[in-house]
Amino acid sequence: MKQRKYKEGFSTELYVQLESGATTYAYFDKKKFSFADNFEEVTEELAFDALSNAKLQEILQADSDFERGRLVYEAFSFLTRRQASDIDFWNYLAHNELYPLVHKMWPEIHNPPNNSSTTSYIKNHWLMTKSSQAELMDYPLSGLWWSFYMTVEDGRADKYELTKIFFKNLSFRTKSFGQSKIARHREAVLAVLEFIQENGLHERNFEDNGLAIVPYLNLLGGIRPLGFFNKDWFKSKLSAKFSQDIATHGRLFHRRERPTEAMPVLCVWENAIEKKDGIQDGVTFQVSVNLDLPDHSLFIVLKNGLVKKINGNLLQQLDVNKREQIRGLNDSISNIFYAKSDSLLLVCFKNNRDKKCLKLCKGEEILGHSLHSFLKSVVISPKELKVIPLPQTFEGDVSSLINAEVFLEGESKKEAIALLKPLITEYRMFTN
Amino acid sequence: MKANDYLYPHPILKLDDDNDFNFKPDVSRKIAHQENSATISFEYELTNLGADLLDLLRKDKIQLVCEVNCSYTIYRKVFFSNRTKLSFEISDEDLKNKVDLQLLLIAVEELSDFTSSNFSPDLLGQTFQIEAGDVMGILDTHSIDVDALRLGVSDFIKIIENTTDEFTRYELNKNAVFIKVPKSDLDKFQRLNNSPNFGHMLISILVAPALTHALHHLNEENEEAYGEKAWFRALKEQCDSLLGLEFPEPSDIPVLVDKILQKPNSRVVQELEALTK
Repeated sequence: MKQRKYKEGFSTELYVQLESGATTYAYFDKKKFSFADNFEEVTEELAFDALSNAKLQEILQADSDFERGRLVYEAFSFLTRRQASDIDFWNYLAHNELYPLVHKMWPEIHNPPNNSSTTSYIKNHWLMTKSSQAELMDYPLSGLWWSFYMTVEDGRADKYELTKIFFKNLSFRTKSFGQSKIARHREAVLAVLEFIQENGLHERNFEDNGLAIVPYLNLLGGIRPLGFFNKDWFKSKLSAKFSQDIATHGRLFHRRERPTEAMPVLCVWENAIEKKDGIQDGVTFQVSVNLDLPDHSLFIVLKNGLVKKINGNLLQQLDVNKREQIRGLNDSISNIFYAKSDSLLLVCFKNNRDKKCLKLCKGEEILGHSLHSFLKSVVISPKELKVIPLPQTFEGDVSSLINAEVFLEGESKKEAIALLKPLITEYRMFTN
Repeated sequence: MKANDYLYPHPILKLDDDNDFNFKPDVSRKIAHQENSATISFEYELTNLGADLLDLLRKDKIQLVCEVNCSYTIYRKVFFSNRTKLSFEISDEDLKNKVDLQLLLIAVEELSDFTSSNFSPDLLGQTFQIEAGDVMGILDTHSIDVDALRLGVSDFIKIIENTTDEFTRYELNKNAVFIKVPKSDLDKFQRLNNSPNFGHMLISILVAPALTHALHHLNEENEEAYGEKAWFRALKEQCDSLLGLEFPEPSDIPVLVDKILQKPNSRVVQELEALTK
């Protein structure tokens, strides 16, 4: 029997169905995804054989992501880059043969972590919407395949030796390093993993690798075409940069002692806010704040283009460890920040044709009088929205961009945009 | 010595007025889909390069390098040459959607006390330390839509039956430009198309006017309406690759039609000439 995939456009249909709430409950069955009677699955046949039942059982019974990845990669090792970036192929597998595998890897559908909604949880694990590097690495099935494709080295006694290092940390594999531009260059990937292995960095503080190595390579790549360099060059650069810290402190960088009086931290979820004494593990959106500054506010940016502001006076009234409900946050959070209430805001997003756009908004126009006050729309129907406060030094030079939507690479207002480009790069306002 | 928002500690050859050298090179770029080999071919040619840099290039101390980046297939690779011409091909299976290209001059080895008689006046006489891998020139930065580039004319111009009236009409709001012809004509066109002597005539009679019509809609104002349609994206890539323009001016359109359809009128004249013999 030949392997099947979704026909072009069907993934979008699935997404629309999920958004409407019509299919949410179908995902609660962890064994089989069932389509409603009036919603027919539209598929097409591929040129290669489908997974055999024996191979499928082996994949479903594997007990680690590395083993699952090995089996999925070996079953489809012949895929070209183009085939392996076909979201209709991965979405088909995620709703058919490998549907229970996604549940096994992400078992919290009944109680999504970090107050995430069930719909967001399903979207983030079962339904790819585009084949960018970020999604290819982040989604469970495609991420397994690509993690092997990028790291298998045939010349080694164990060709998966470096792949095993890559699978030591999920966040490093699927986010910080896996999604970086440098991870597209095989020589760099192998160099980084070898460097981690040779220095024993995989055995302790693995998060440091993402926090230190990736920014350093991005810095090097700012002024050089990194694709030009080979594995040895990358390793020598990493050694020169980090060897002394590894020898002295046993890790990539030495954190300074934190101040004894920790700053309060605001943790934000899609429907609530809570003040804490310090940084919390496992909370995606949290920010340290100095609550002695009444002219500062917490800004919560939603993916749908709305921004909520909660001003300093309100934040001071929050009790520690008491979760307060916030109304109006009906969409996923894009990012949060704590800044002066009247800061000028830099808004970056992609429009419906995936063109990179930006505009500036005045923070003072967003009301912040109560936890339930209305949200301000900074842009309509954006993709990949990110908002940050602009340093005051920019304000006079870029005022022409206030409330004017312009293309990042367009002809309009080029001079003002050029001033902002270093900031856009530094804060990674666009994913690619 | 600023380029692409970075400050370099040495002179950078660029194509704009803010150049650290006293000459401006020219770069030509040809990108095309090769159907037979299922590849995309890239060809760059650099002219008017100053004598000092040309000498370094020939001695393989610097190289002409193109870095290709595609997020959609997690692809990143450099291609290089020690000549002023750089040609390479990439398999269709390696690229998808949007591809970013950057053409650079790169130092292959350390150049200590690098100086040039071609520096701009404010830098003349100064020396610089260049490391292997340092960027010495930024010559072209460009993105292409490879999926659109792959489309042939027959993929985005289709002849179908006009079921509403007896005239020939064009429809632009689908992925392909539809040439809608009355049924009686459509049957005759299909018969003629099967005859070896009339294929080019049909292109001139039917396809060329439709293509001209579509090209008159290929402009920035129409991006909102047609920007995601395959025909719009494909013609945009053709315009870029054949004329080096994002959008054509009305006066460019006859030449662009001639280039896309490979001189259809000349071929019709040849067909007619053959028929009269």
